[in-house]
Amino acid sequence: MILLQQVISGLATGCLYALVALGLVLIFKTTEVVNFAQGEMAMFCTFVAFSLLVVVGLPYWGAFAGALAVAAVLGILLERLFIRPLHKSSLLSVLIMTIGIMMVINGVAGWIWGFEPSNFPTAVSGEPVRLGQLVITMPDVMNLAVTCVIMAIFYLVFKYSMVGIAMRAAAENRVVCRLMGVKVNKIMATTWAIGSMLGAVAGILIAPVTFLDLSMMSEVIIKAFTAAVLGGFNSLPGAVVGGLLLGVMENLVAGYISTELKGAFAFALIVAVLCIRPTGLLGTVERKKV
Amino acid sequence: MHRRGLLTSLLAAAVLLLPPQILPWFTDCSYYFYLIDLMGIFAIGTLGLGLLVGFAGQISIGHAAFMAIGAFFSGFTTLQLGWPFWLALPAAGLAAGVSGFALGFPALRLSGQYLAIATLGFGVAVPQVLVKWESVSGGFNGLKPLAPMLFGYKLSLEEDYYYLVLITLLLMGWLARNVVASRTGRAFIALRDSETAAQAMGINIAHYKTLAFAFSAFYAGIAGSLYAHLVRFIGATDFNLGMSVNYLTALVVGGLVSIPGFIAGAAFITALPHGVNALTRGLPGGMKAMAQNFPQVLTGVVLILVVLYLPQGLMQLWTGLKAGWAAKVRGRRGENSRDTARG
Repeated sequence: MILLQQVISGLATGCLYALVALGLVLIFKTTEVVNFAQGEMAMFCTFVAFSLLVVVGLPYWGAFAGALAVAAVLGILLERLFIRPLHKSSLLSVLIMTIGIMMVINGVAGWIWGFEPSNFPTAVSGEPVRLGQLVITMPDVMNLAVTCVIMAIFYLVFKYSMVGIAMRAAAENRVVCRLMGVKVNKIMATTWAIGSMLGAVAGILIAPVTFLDLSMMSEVIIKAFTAAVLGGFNSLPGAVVGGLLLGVMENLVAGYISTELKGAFAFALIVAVLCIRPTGLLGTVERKKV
Repeated sequence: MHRRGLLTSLLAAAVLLLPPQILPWFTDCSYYFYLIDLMGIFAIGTLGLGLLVGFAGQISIGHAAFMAIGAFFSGFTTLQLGWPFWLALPAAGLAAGVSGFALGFPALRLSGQYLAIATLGFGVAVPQVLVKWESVSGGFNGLKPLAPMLFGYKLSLEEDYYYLVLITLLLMGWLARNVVASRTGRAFIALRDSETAAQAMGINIAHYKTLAFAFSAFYAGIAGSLYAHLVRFIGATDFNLGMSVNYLTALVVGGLVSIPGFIAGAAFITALPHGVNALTRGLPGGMKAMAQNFPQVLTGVVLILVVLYLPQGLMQLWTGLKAGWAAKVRGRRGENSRDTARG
């Protein structure tokens, strides 16, 4: 029973990893950028939500929507100003660019909102749900519900909508995609907007647990990378599976071995996965030409 | 030309080796020498990272972890096992080199973004493990390594330590230059430009990739040991991702493939926070809070600008200026000769 309890709270945490990882994978798949700034972008949007809640006095869901809008704009701006000019640069340049963006966003957030951690309200409160002997807290229920809804939307959009199909096409082959009349640049910007919004959702859900703080995402982003590697960096379902698996495994390690080795565990997992199956659980092999 | 190069380097060496006390305006020079020592130490680490990233094309964004290994190896062996510093320094380099070699193996199957993520994980994991491993690292209290002894003379002054750093840096720079110019260096470059093509030319990829990791980790280990005995207080959390990013910045600013550039980049990134500090010292309290993370923002901005506009690093500004000036001079000379011809 304790094991099951651990698994369920692991799943609830894993949902958050999955959301951030999904944003990472989405951006990587379509634009071939590993976005190291994803965590700081999410942190920034969470602070925006906090300002909307506390300073402007919007209701929770109003602030949530506002933060998502800001996230979308942020994603589009970053893509347009800093990533698109690099479309012919090496992987290293793009990587360093996202690291630079990460540092600037973090610093600017410090200037705007200060360096003190603050409390962030939860969306729902109340009695935990009881299923027999299992106890699930309301925020955990909320995490699971929000993630399920987002997954469902993602599935439908990618399967049936024009934008989703165009995104998959752009990921497959950009040149042919353009020849087919898809506005690839628009697709790239959309991808960044959606990736940024996914991060913002995760940030808002994480903030009540970790406190709202400049470094709130620094652990989570490493976990999200691990989740993405575990599931396969070019597979959207892989990111979700990886996130959930990582959440559960980590909770089991913390429960049965040591809570302090969580970070080292993530690294060991990355190395193990990359040694045994570099494509991850659901990823596919990419072949390179000379 | 060759003789002139030799002369210049001899002259530079003579200037660098002059006792700093002859400069009359250096009344309180220990702070400046502390800074210069730090620059030299980071330059050694950046040289190693440059071999790995710039020449061999393997990405590492957790490089501070190797420095941590060197620093704690040196601290532990001198404090607990009673090794002399002169043994601990190369041994720390070797210890870090071995760990780099070991990390090179999983890296064999990885490239590009996967390698970046794996090294990121490594950079996060090593400080965590070190903090937990209290018998070696002293846990959260850290270690307090002693200043090295040279024939009964204690190198505790920053001015004296400067010579140690300088000589090590020159040695390591010379080594790096020779590596780059050798068969190994050419193999690194081939590996960077195209792995498949390098393999087709008969380059043993596994050998050279692990070698590149071992080399760069060796440099970082040496830097770590020097750092430990200069600062004389090391905590595992000092070697965090921020430090790794600083290394990358030094590399990018220095232009990725230039050995003088690496050194200049390291000097830049070391001086940046101190410079900002000095400039903002007189500011009122509210502005000071803003200045607190100004170096970080500035580093980010520099990274973005260099990637966008100066792919060869800040050195490109200098070479650009020089080329422009040379063209101007040539232009004027051309006019002159025409004048004389007419005359």
